[in-house]
Amino acid sequence: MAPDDDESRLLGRLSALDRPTRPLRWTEVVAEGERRRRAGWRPVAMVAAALVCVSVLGYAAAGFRPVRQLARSIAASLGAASSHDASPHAPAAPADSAGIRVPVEDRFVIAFTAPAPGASARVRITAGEQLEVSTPDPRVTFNSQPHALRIDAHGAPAGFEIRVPDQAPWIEIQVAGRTVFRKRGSGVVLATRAPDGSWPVSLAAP
Amino acid sequence: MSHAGAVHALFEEHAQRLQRVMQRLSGEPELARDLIQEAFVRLYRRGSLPDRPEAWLISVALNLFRNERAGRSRRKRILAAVPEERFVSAPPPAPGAEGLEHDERARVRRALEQLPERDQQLLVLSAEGYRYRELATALRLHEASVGVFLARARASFKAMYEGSTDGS
Repeated sequence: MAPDDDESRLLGRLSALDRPTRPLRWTEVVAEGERRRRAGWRPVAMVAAALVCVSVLGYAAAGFRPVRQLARSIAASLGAASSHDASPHAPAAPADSAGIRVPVEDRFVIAFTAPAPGASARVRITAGEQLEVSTPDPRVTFNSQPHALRIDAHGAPAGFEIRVPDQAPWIEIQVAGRTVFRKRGSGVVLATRAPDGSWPVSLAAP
Repeated sequence: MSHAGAVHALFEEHAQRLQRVMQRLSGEPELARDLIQEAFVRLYRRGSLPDRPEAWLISVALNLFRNERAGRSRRKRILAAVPEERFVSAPPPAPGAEGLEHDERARVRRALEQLPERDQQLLVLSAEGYRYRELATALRLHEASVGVFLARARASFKAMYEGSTDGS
Protein backbone atom coordinates (compact mmCIF):
# COMPACT_ATOMS: atom_id res chain seq x y z
CA MET A 1 0.00 0.00 0.00
CA ALA A 2 1.30 3.47 -0.90
CA PRO A 3 2.18 5.82 1.94
CA ASP A 4 -0.44 8.31 0.77
CA ASP A 5 -3.11 5.63 1.08
CA ASP A 6 -1.89 4.87 4.58
CA GLU A 7 -2.02 8.54 5.41
CA SER A 8 -5.55 9.03 4.13
CA ARG A 9 -6.78 5.85 5.82
CA LEU A 10 -5.22 6.98 9.06
CA LEU A 11 -6.90 10.35 8.78
CA GLY A 12 -10.18 8.64 8.09
CA ARG A 13 -9.80 6.36 11.08
CA LEU A 14 -8.88 9.14 13.45
CA SER A 15 -11.89 11.13 12.31
CA ALA A 16 -14.02 8.30 13.72
CA LEU A 17 -13.00 9.68 17.13
CA ASP A 18 -14.64 13.05 16.43
CA ARG A 19 -17.81 13.84 18.30
CA PRO A 20 -20.02 16.91 18.22
CA THR A 21 -18.54 19.56 20.46
CA ARG A 22 -19.50 23.01 21.59
CA PRO A 23 -17.00 25.28 19.88
CA LEU A 24 -14.99 27.48 22.19
CA ARG A 25 -15.64 31.19 21.70
CA TRP A 26 -13.09 33.98 21.91
CA THR A 27 -15.30 35.99 24.27
CA GLU A 28 -15.12 33.14 26.79
CA VAL A 29 -11.33 33.28 26.73
CA VAL A 30 -11.28 37.05 27.23
CA ALA A 31 -13.89 36.92 30.00
CA GLU A 32 -11.96 34.24 31.90
CA GLY A 33 -8.64 36.04 31.38
CA GLU A 34 -10.06 39.32 32.72
CA ARG A 35 -11.75 37.57 35.65
CA ARG A 36 -8.40 36.08 36.67
CA ARG A 37 -6.66 39.40 36.23
CA ARG A 38 -9.12 41.00 38.66
CA ALA A 39 -8.80 38.03 41.04
CA GLY A 40 -5.02 38.35 40.85
CA TRP A 41 -5.21 41.94 42.13
CA ARG A 42 -7.40 40.99 45.08
CA PRO A 43 -4.63 39.65 47.38
CA VAL A 44 -2.44 42.66 46.56
CA ALA A 45 -5.30 45.01 47.36
CA MET A 46 -5.95 43.20 50.64
CA VAL A 47 -2.30 43.46 51.70
CA ALA A 48 -2.28 47.16 50.80
CA ALA A 49 -5.48 47.73 52.79
CA ALA A 50 -4.01 45.87 55.77
CA LEU A 51 -0.86 48.01 55.64
CA VAL A 52 -2.96 51.18 55.55
CA CYS A 53 -4.97 49.97 58.57
CA VAL A 54 -1.82 49.15 60.52
CA SER A 55 -0.37 52.56 59.67
CA VAL A 56 -3.54 54.36 60.73
CA LEU A 57 -3.74 52.39 63.99
CA GLY A 58 -0.07 52.97 64.63
CA TYR A 59 -0.49 56.67 64.01
CA ALA A 60 -3.47 56.80 66.36
CA ALA A 61 -1.58 54.84 69.01
CA ALA A 62 1.32 57.24 68.69
CA GLY A 63 -0.98 60.11 69.60
CA PHE A 64 0.20 62.08 66.59
CA ARG A 65 3.75 62.23 67.85
CA PRO A 66 6.63 62.93 65.53
CA VAL A 67 7.38 60.62 62.63
CA ARG A 68 10.34 58.88 64.30
CA GLN A 69 8.16 57.87 67.22
CA LEU A 70 5.38 56.91 64.83
CA ALA A 71 7.72 54.44 63.14
CA ARG A 72 8.50 52.88 66.50
CA SER A 73 4.81 52.63 67.36
CA ILE A 74 4.04 50.84 64.10
CA ALA A 75 6.91 48.45 64.63
CA ALA A 76 5.70 47.77 68.15
CA SER A 77 2.10 47.25 67.00
CA LEU A 78 3.32 44.69 64.49
CA GLY A 79 5.10 42.93 67.33
CA ALA A 80 8.32 42.94 65.43
CA ALA A 81 11.54 44.65 66.19
CA SER A 82 12.58 47.27 63.71
CA SER A 83 15.51 46.18 61.59
CA HIS A 84 17.37 49.33 62.56
CA ASP A 85 16.82 51.94 65.19
CA ALA A 86 15.32 55.19 64.00
CA SER A 87 17.99 57.07 65.92
CA PRO A 88 21.33 57.49 64.18
CA HIS A 89 23.03 56.68 67.48
CA ALA A 90 21.91 53.18 68.32
CA PRO A 91 22.36 51.66 71.79
CA ALA A 92 25.27 49.22 71.70
CA ALA A 93 24.58 47.28 74.89
CA PRO A 94 21.73 45.38 76.53
CA ALA A 95 19.52 46.92 79.25
CA ASP A 96 21.66 45.75 82.20
CA SER A 97 24.56 47.76 80.85
CA ALA A 98 24.97 50.95 78.87
CA GLY A 99 26.54 51.86 75.59
CA ILE A 100 26.35 53.83 72.41
CA ARG A 101 27.43 53.54 68.81
CA VAL A 102 28.08 56.66 66.75
CA PRO A 103 29.43 57.26 63.26
CA VAL A 104 32.78 59.03 63.13
CA GLU A 105 33.91 60.91 60.06
CA ASP A 106 36.09 63.81 61.14
CA ARG A 107 37.72 65.09 64.33
CA PHE A 108 35.93 63.60 67.29
CA VAL A 109 36.24 64.02 71.05
CA ILE A 110 35.10 61.61 73.72
CA ALA A 111 34.73 63.62 76.90
CA PHE A 112 34.30 61.93 80.32
CA THR A 113 32.79 64.03 83.05
CA ALA A 114 32.66 63.22 86.76
CA PRO A 115 34.37 59.81 86.71
CA ALA A 116 35.22 58.10 90.01
CA PRO A 117 38.87 57.61 90.97
CA GLY A 118 38.88 53.93 89.95
CA ALA A 119 37.32 54.42 86.51
CA SER A 120 39.24 53.17 83.50
CA ALA A 121 38.80 52.38 79.84
CA ARG A 122 40.28 49.93 77.39
CA VAL A 123 40.55 51.29 73.85
CA ARG A 124 40.68 48.99 70.84
CA ILE A 125 41.19 49.95 67.21
CA THR A 126 38.72 48.02 65.12
CA ALA A 127 37.57 47.73 61.56
CA GLY A 128 34.35 49.55 60.74
CA GLU A 129 33.00 53.06 60.60
CA GLN A 130 31.38 53.50 64.00
CA LEU A 131 32.72 54.33 67.39
CA GLU A 132 31.37 52.09 70.16
CA VAL A 133 31.47 52.78 73.88
CA SER A 134 30.05 50.28 76.35
CA THR A 135 30.10 49.77 80.08
CA PRO A 136 28.54 47.26 82.43
CA ASP A 137 27.31 50.12 84.63
CA PRO A 138 23.76 51.08 83.59
CA ARG A 139 23.96 54.42 85.46
CA VAL A 140 26.31 55.89 82.87
CA THR A 141 24.67 58.34 80.45
CA PHE A 142 25.73 59.39 76.97
CA ASN A 143 25.17 62.63 75.14
CA SER A 144 26.19 62.56 71.51
CA GLN A 145 26.86 65.70 69.49
CA PRO A 146 28.06 66.17 65.92
CA HIS A 147 31.79 65.95 66.77
CA ALA A 148 31.76 64.89 70.37
CA LEU A 149 30.42 62.34 72.80
CA ARG A 150 29.96 63.35 76.43
CA ILE A 151 29.90 60.52 78.93
CA ASP A 152 28.80 61.05 82.49
CA ALA A 153 29.61 58.20 84.88
CA HIS A 154 27.86 60.00 87.74
CA GLY A 155 30.79 59.33 90.03
CA ALA A 156 30.73 55.58 89.46
CA PRO A 157 34.06 53.72 89.13
CA ALA A 158 32.90 52.30 85.83
CA GLY A 159 35.02 50.38 83.37
CA PHE A 160 34.59 51.24 79.68
CA GLU A 161 35.26 49.39 76.50
CA ILE A 162 35.89 51.83 73.66
CA ARG A 163 36.11 50.55 70.11
CA VAL A 164 37.60 53.13 67.80
CA PRO A 165 37.22 52.63 64.04
CA ASP A 166 40.59 52.43 62.30
CA GLN A 167 39.21 54.69 59.56
CA ALA A 168 38.62 57.57 62.02
CA PRO A 169 41.15 60.30 61.15
CA TRP A 170 41.36 61.98 64.57
CA ILE A 171 39.88 60.86 67.87
CA GLU A 172 40.69 62.20 71.32
CA ILE A 173 39.62 61.00 74.76
CA GLN A 174 39.46 63.65 77.45
CA VAL A 175 38.84 63.35 81.18
CA ALA A 176 37.64 66.55 82.80
CA GLY A 177 39.25 68.55 79.99
CA ARG A 178 42.58 66.67 80.02
CA THR A 179 43.55 64.59 76.99
CA VAL A 180 44.45 61.00 77.91
CA PHE A 181 44.35 59.35 74.47
CA ARG A 182 44.64 60.53 70.92
CA LYS A 183 44.55 58.66 67.64
CA ARG A 184 45.66 60.61 64.60
CA GLY A 185 45.57 58.61 61.39
CA SER A 186 47.00 55.23 62.30
CA GLY A 187 49.12 56.53 65.18
CA VAL A 188 48.20 56.60 68.87
CA VAL A 189 49.76 58.94 71.42
CA LEU A 190 49.52 59.47 75.17
CA ALA A 191 48.77 55.80 75.83
CA THR A 192 50.79 52.61 76.01
CA ARG A 193 49.73 49.55 74.14
CA ALA A 194 49.02 46.42 76.20
CA PRO A 195 50.11 42.91 75.11
CA ASP A 196 46.55 42.11 74.00
CA GLY A 197 46.70 44.99 71.49
CA SER A 198 44.44 47.36 73.43
CA TRP A 199 45.28 50.73 74.98
CA PRO A 200 44.38 50.96 78.69
CA VAL A 201 43.46 54.47 79.76
CA SER A 202 42.92 55.76 83.27
CA LEU A 203 39.82 57.90 83.62
CA ALA A 204 40.65 59.18 87.08
CA ALA A 205 40.11 62.91 87.31
CA PRO A 206 43.33 64.91 87.74
CA MET B 1 -0.98 44.55 16.77
CA SER B 2 -1.85 44.45 20.48
CA HIS B 3 -1.22 41.31 22.51
CA ALA B 4 -4.95 40.61 22.75
CA GLY B 5 -5.25 41.07 18.99
CA ALA B 6 -2.38 38.67 18.34
CA VAL B 7 -3.87 36.05 20.67
CA HIS B 8 -7.23 36.50 19.00
CA ALA B 9 -5.66 35.84 15.59
CA LEU B 10 -4.03 32.68 16.95
CA PHE B 11 -7.33 31.66 18.46
CA GLU B 12 -9.11 32.00 15.14
CA GLU B 13 -6.46 29.94 13.41
CA HIS B 14 -5.83 27.19 15.96
CA ALA B 15 -8.58 26.88 18.55
CA GLN B 16 -10.82 24.61 16.55
CA ARG B 17 -8.16 22.17 15.41
CA LEU B 18 -6.50 22.11 18.82
CA GLN B 19 -9.87 21.34 20.34
CA ARG B 20 -10.23 18.47 17.87
CA VAL B 21 -6.72 17.21 18.72
CA MET B 22 -7.47 17.19 22.43
CA GLN B 23 -10.85 15.60 21.90
CA ARG B 24 -9.29 12.78 19.86
CA LEU B 25 -6.63 12.24 22.50
CA SER B 26 -8.95 12.41 25.50
CA GLY B 27 -12.18 11.10 24.01
CA GLU B 28 -14.03 13.78 26.00
CA PRO B 29 -15.37 16.79 24.11
CA GLU B 30 -15.99 18.90 27.20
CA LEU B 31 -12.59 18.18 28.67
CA ALA B 32 -10.97 19.08 25.33
CA ARG B 33 -12.87 22.36 25.33
CA ASP B 34 -11.75 23.17 28.88
CA LEU B 35 -8.11 22.36 28.11
CA ILE B 36 -8.03 24.59 25.06
CA GLN B 37 -9.77 27.41 26.87
CA GLU B 38 -7.20 27.15 29.66
CA ALA B 39 -4.30 27.18 27.18
CA PHE B 40 -5.62 30.31 25.46
CA VAL B 41 -6.42 32.04 28.76
CA ARG B 42 -2.82 31.47 29.84
CA LEU B 43 -1.56 32.85 26.55
CA TYR B 44 -3.89 35.85 26.90
CA ARG B 45 -2.67 36.57 30.43
CA ARG B 46 0.97 36.01 29.53
CA GLY B 47 1.26 39.53 28.18
CA SER B 48 3.54 38.61 25.28
CA LEU B 49 3.71 35.87 22.70
CA PRO B 50 6.25 33.04 23.06
CA ASP B 51 8.74 32.41 20.26
CA ARG B 52 6.61 29.70 18.70
CA PRO B 53 3.04 30.34 19.80
CA GLU B 54 1.55 27.32 18.01
CA ALA B 55 4.01 24.90 19.60
CA TRP B 56 3.55 26.68 22.95
CA LEU B 57 -0.22 26.19 22.81
CA ILE B 58 0.14 22.52 21.90
CA SER B 59 2.66 21.96 24.67
CA VAL B 60 0.51 23.71 27.31
CA ALA B 61 -2.63 21.82 26.26
CA LEU B 62 -0.81 18.48 26.37
CA ASN B 63 0.65 19.25 29.79
CA LEU B 64 -2.77 20.22 31.11
CA PHE B 65 -4.18 16.98 29.76
CA ARG B 66 -1.37 15.00 31.40
CA ASN B 67 -2.05 16.71 34.72
CA GLU B 68 -5.74 16.02 34.40
CA ARG B 69 -5.10 12.35 33.76
CA ALA B 70 -2.68 12.12 36.69
CA GLY B 71 -5.28 13.76 38.94
CA ARG B 72 -7.89 11.27 37.80
CA SER B 73 -5.58 8.35 38.50
CA ARG B 74 -5.05 9.65 42.02
CA ARG B 75 -8.78 10.08 42.55
CA LYS B 76 -9.41 6.60 41.16
CA ARG B 77 -6.93 5.12 43.64
CA ILE B 78 -8.64 6.95 46.49
CA LEU B 79 -12.10 5.85 45.34
CA ALA B 80 -10.87 2.25 44.98
CA ALA B 81 -10.18 2.25 48.70
CA VAL B 82 -13.82 3.10 49.48
CA PRO B 83 -16.36 0.22 49.64
CA GLU B 84 -18.01 -0.27 46.26
CA GLU B 85 -21.63 -0.19 47.47
CA ARG B 86 -21.36 3.52 48.15
CA PHE B 87 -21.40 4.27 44.42
CA VAL B 88 -24.20 3.98 41.97
CA SER B 89 -22.88 3.02 38.56
CA ALA B 90 -24.18 4.65 35.37
CA PRO B 91 -26.62 2.55 33.37
CA PRO B 92 -24.92 0.54 30.59
CA PRO B 93 -25.47 1.80 27.03
CA ALA B 94 -28.34 0.19 25.17
CA PRO B 95 -27.07 -2.59 22.90
CA GLY B 96 -26.58 -1.41 19.35
CA ALA B 97 -27.59 2.12 20.24
CA GLU B 98 -24.72 3.75 18.40
CA GLY B 99 -24.31 1.00 15.86
CA LEU B 100 -21.33 0.71 13.60
CA GLU B 101 -20.12 4.21 14.26
CA HIS B 102 -19.72 3.35 17.90
CA ASP B 103 -17.85 0.13 17.09
CA GLU B 104 -15.43 1.89 14.76
CA ARG B 105 -14.79 4.64 17.27
CA ALA B 106 -14.14 2.07 19.98
CA ARG B 107 -11.71 0.19 17.76
CA VAL B 108 -9.77 3.32 16.83
CA ARG B 109 -9.74 4.42 20.46
CA ARG B 110 -8.44 1.03 21.60
CA ALA B 111 -5.71 1.03 18.97
CA LEU B 112 -4.67 4.58 19.77
CA GLU B 113 -4.57 4.02 23.50
CA GLN B 114 -2.26 1.05 23.11
CA LEU B 115 0.41 3.32 21.67
CA PRO B 116 2.91 5.22 23.80
CA GLU B 117 1.79 8.74 24.70
CA ARG B 118 4.26 10.41 22.34
CA ASP B 119 3.09 8.29 19.37
CA GLN B 120 -0.54 9.13 20.10
CA GLN B 121 0.29 12.81 20.16
CA LEU B 122 2.35 12.64 16.96
CA LEU B 123 -0.38 10.85 15.07
CA VAL B 124 -3.19 13.12 16.13
CA LEU B 125 -1.24 16.33 15.69
CA SER B 126 0.11 15.40 12.27
CA ALA B 127 -3.41 14.43 11.19
CA GLU B 128 -4.37 18.04 11.92
CA GLY B 129 -1.65 19.30 9.61
CA TYR B 130 0.91 20.52 12.14
CA ARG B 131 4.38 20.73 10.62
CA TYR B 132 7.41 18.78 11.79
CA ARG B 133 8.93 21.93 13.21
CA GLU B 134 5.95 22.61 15.46
CA LEU B 135 5.71 18.95 16.47
CA ALA B 136 9.42 18.91 17.34
CA THR B 137 9.15 22.02 19.51
CA ALA B 138 5.93 21.02 21.22
CA LEU B 139 7.01 17.44 21.94
CA ARG B 140 10.67 18.28 22.56
CA LEU B 141 12.04 16.16 19.74
CA HIS B 142 14.73 16.80 17.16
CA GLU B 143 13.07 18.03 14.03
CA ALA B 144 15.05 15.50 11.99
CA SER B 145 13.66 12.64 14.09
CA VAL B 146 10.01 13.57 13.79
CA GLY B 147 9.56 11.80 10.44
CA VAL B 148 11.03 8.56 11.76
CA PHE B 149 8.96 8.63 14.94
CA LEU B 150 5.85 9.44 12.97
CA ALA B 151 6.39 6.55 10.53
CA ARG B 152 6.81 4.17 13.45
CA ALA B 153 3.73 5.53 15.16
CA ARG B 154 1.66 5.05 12.00
CA ALA B 155 2.90 1.48 11.59
CA SER B 156 2.17 0.69 15.22
CA PHE B 157 -1.28 2.20 14.99
CA LYS B 158 -2.02 0.21 11.85
CA ALA B 159 -0.88 -3.01 13.50
CA MET B 160 -2.93 -2.31 16.61
CA TYR B 161 -5.99 -1.35 14.62
CA GLU B 162 -5.83 -4.36 12.34
CA GLY B 163 -5.10 -6.67 15.24
CA SER B 164 -8.07 -5.22 17.04
CA THR B 165 -10.27 -5.65 13.97
CA ASP B 166 -9.15 -9.25 13.46
CA GLY B 167 -9.76 -10.01 17.09
CA SER B 168 -13.17 -8.44 17.24
